[in-house]
Amino acid sequence: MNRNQVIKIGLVFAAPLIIYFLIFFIYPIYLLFKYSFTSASGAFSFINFENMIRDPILYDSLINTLYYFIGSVAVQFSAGFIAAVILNSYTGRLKNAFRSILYIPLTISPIVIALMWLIIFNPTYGPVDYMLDMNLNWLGSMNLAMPTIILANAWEYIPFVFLIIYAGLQSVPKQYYEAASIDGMSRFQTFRYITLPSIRPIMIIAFLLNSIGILQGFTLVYVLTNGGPGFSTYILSFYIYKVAFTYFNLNYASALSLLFLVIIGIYVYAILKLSSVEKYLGIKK
Amino acid sequence: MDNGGSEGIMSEVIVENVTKKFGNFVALDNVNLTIKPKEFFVLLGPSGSGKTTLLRLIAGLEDITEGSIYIGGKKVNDVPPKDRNVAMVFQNYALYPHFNVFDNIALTLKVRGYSKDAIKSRVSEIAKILHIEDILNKKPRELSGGQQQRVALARALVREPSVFLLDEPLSNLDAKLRVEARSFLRSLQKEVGVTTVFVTHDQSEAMALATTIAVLDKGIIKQVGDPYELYTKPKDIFTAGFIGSPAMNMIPGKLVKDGSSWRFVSEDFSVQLINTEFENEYDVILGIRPEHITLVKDDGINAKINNVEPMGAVTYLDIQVGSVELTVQYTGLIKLEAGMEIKVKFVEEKMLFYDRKTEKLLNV
Ligand SMILES: Nc1ncnc2c1ncn2[C@@H]1O[C@H](COP(=O)(O)OP(=O)(O)O)[C@@H](O)[C@H]1O
Ligand SMILES: [Mg+2]
Repeated sequence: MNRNQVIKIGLVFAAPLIIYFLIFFIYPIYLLFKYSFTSASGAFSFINFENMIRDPILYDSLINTLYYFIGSVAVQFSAGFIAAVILNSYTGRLKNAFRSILYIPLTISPIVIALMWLIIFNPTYGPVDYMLDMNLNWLGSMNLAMPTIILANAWEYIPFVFLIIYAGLQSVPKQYYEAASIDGMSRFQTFRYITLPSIRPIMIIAFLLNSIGILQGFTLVYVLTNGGPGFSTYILSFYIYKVAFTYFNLNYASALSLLFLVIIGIYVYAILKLSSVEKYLGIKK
Repeated sequence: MDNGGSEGIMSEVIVENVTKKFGNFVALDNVNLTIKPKEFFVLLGPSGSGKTTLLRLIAGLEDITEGSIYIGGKKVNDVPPKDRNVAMVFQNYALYPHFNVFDNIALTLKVRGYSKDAIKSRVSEIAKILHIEDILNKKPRELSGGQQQRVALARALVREPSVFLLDEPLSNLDAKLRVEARSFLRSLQKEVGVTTVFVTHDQSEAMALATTIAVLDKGIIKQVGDPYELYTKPKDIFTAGFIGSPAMNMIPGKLVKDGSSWRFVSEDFSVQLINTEFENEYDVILGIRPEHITLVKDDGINAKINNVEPMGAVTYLDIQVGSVELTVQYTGLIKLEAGMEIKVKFVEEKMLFYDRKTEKLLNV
């Protein structure tokens, strides 16, 4: 076979993936750009981006997204990390049981989880108010709605962080711990000098995936508060949905999506740079 | 190196009736050893004989199935590794991949509370000795096998432990560096005076380094002794065959009483023994080292030369005596060729007879 034939046969085998990729990735992204730069009359225009500057709801959504994002990352990452470390050092009989329990939320559909929280925080018959013997109307309160969403979101995604970091901890070769014990390290020193540096790359990956997952969060807001009360739980993803499917302004929604894409891109790039994770992943020497 | 005030020095290691099982597999079978303070003790055995396992038991990295281990007079069965104050070079080095060479060596001092200056001077001192000053800033994965091994050695030697445990620490060095490292290790050990347990499968390395050698085979200690003893009076066939290079010649035969004296009778020849006495007639294996077979003009065993290997200081001859091939070591160079007929004689005082059933040495 000559070179051309090899390439042709290769293309035939790769074709399904290439076609899939073109239809489901490249084309939508092309449309996203196209709509973003289209005015209501259908002409090429920057009007959608100009409108952003004068959009108070966008402004609120960005602030809310920041609040929701920082709260969620802080809770989910630290809780997932701590759970992984504790379970990794726990050697009792219930280890597998605990691990399985921690996996459960990952197996439930997000919409079901959202509905479950809706029931739990229901002001009339929800168990939370009943047990606390209060009438707080969690989801209807300007101050409590967002923390409640953060809490519900954490329940869903702590296991995700846990899973990745736990796998990382399990994959640290035993011999490093043996060398550390010979070197005279205490438990804490071993954690600091062996465990942490060993799982650093995986922690960064977990952090990134967790961040992106959180930013894409939508279901909880949609089911629990529908953005309310007022605009207090409008986060960017929810606002984009509203613009597209309630106001039917697809062009503006596309522009907002593009903004969202840029924000996520900058964020991911910054984390990768700051953590110099490329070094660990062998992307760069 | 400075070793003032170190508590660990002079530690004796006693291994008492130690058995180690992995599941049903017996890796070590009732091992008894006394490793005297300051001794350079070599554990010698083929791959899979249990050397690493024994070392890990002394370090505390494995639980003892039966028996006890004492370090410096203290029973350490339940003492965790970090409190045993042993230093160890792992067979696969186990360097910390995320730290550079300097930190790999320094970490053990840091966690023991040494000052920054003390750490720096000790690390650079040991780095100089092991020729790794130039790579202190590199990560382990950037190093060759030999360099990694030297870093592992440095990490162990930078401390003042009660016992050094070295698991084949020279196996990956090239020939020249290995000889250098041997003499360095030997003199360092003498100077510091730390009890050292050195594992190797290389008998010449064992002979070169050891004050005492323990020969291990399939989890059983075959013999313990100084290199001289082990070379001249190996107590069983395994040790006899394992120690010495080229290996000892082994010739199956019988010991037969012949009037008032004894004869060794093999299929192809027989040898009159003048000064050696036995209790019974035995089926035996005669062990004779290559340097204890001499060439003679007349009155010898007929042999044919298969191969001549002149080494300079000595010449090795492969000779055929009936159905057995023997190696002869001739001191100096000699003009001989394959195919020539010669006569040889065995040095009687050096002939070792092993009972074929028990595989034990019969000479006393
Ligand atoms: N953790 C383990 N589990 C099961 N078998 C083991 C383990 N460690 C060693 N062994 C077995 O014990 C025997 C001795 O091993 P080892 O001490 O490493 O030998 P050596 O260092 O002399 O080559 C080998 O047969 C090996 O397979
Ligand atoms: Mg070994």
